[in-house]
Amino acid sequence: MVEQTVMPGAYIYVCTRLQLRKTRLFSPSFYDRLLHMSLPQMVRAIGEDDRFRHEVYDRYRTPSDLIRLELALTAHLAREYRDVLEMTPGALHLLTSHYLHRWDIVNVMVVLRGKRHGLDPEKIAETLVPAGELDRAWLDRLIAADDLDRVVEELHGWSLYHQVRSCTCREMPRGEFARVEDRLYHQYYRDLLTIGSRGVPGGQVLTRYLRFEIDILNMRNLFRLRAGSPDPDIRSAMVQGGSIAIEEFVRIASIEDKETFFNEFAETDLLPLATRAMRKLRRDPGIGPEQVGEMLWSRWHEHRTTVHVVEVAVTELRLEEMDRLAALHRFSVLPVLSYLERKRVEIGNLRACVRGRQFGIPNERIARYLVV
Amino acid sequence: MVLFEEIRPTRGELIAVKRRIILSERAHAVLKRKLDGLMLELVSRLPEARAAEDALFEELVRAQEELAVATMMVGELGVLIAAESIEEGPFLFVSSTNAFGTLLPSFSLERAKKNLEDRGYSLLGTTPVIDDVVSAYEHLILGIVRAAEVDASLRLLAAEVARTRRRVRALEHRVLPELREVRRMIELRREELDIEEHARLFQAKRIRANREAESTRRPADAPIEGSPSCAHRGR
Repeated sequence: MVEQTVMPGAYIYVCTRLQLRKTRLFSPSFYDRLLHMSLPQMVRAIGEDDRFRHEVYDRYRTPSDLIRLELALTAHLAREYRDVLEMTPGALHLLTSHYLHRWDIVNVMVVLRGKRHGLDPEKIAETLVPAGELDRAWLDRLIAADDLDRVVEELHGWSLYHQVRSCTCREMPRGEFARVEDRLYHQYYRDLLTIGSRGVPGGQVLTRYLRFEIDILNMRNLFRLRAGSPDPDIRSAMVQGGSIAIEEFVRIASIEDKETFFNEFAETDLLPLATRAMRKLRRDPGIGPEQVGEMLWSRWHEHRTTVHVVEVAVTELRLEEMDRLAALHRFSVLPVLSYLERKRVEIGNLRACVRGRQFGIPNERIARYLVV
Repeated sequence: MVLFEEIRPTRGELIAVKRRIILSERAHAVLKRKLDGLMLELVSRLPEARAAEDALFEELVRAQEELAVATMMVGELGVLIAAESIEEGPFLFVSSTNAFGTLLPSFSLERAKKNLEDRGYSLLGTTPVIDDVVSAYEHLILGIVRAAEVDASLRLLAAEVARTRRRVRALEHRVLPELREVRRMIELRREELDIEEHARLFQAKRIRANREAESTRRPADAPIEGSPSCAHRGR
């Protein structure tokens, strides 16, 4: 399908506004300054920013109450996302809202699990981030529902409703919630890929980016499955739609010797990405694919998950890729998604700084977990 | 403190005291052997306790580090949401083993370590950092149970050692010396009584012998009827 070349004025308006907002995100130097502050100074520095003032000063009361600060940051994120959602018109709105469905999935699963375990409704409400299609009023209705059946009834009309119908008050098989959540995410990626291929501006590029994201997600989960399960069902766990075929992951999953692992991994596009991530992380341009392959093999061989700081570096590269695509397609859905992702990363960085300080982690180590 | 005035220096009492001495000596020997056994058991378990404590400390540090990283990466909310997803906790089974008459607890934890698909949270809704923190806490809970088992056993053994030592010392320094003193007193008293009895018997025998001798002598010395000595006695 050919992409639209004529941009409606509203697209230009929205994308320009979001580009402008992106420039107001905290710079790397701010995080450097933040890491040299004490915990109350950190909170004050965040609260002094106009964007955060309302939520932070409204919710955060005592210096030790960092969960309140976290809630304030997520409330700010939700407000920002809803603001963007209201701002976007037409197909841009459709794509953005579908992209934000992942927050709906998080919220719905929190409510379903909370209802199942009989959690306090106030506690459930505090945990939610109403940043997607389900707004606060809808989520409140879900929380107010008497039981699980009523919650599922209330979800009627939600685009992913048919995936949660198996949740019921009656006895459910163990692990059903996890299966429902996985089904929701599978459907989420399927829907996004379908919408991306409908010919909306930037849809093709978005699809390409999504395939890239799915590949990273699948590879990461392949390591997790190997580390956490003796006989994993790779085929059903992998998300379809990535550029690497599911069969490839199934083949990699059964590899037990180093050379085959390295050869199979080198055939995917992920080895160059992991190499770039390692070079970025260690600030050493001399790191080659062999060394990265060696590192990945050692984790694979020891049945361990991927290294978290490498994941952070991969996320950085993923966002750089998105920014690059957004710069190429300036009036498409990509600048919007780029802003949404950068905003999420900003909140994540602030949280990492504050929590890292709370746990007494050295600044150098905290800095490695920041996506800047 | 035994009141010697209350002790009856009878043969029955002496036999009873002797029996009590024999019983106490036997109990003392048995308790001493038990004390030695308990001490050996306690000492043999100390390295195990130290190892369990060190392992627990390492697991705790690792779990805290993983939790710190998880809280940094997905926030406390992310960790909480994953924690709320857990559908089934581990089961703790308690049994006991006998060590020198002391019942020591034995804990076994089932379903503490779970596969990824049994943990209850979704693969796609979480990140590897959650796997690592869950795995670290699974190891931690196993370490806690192991350390609790060893610690409880040591405490019970130490309490039993103290109790047994107190009994041994009581037998050694109080019960047995007192019983032996009682036995000595009874024996002395009985010896005195025997001497007294012997003296009395001797005296009685002598008196009796004198009387008999007197009575046998009388017919020869008796005065003839009508003699002056007989007339004098009749007056």
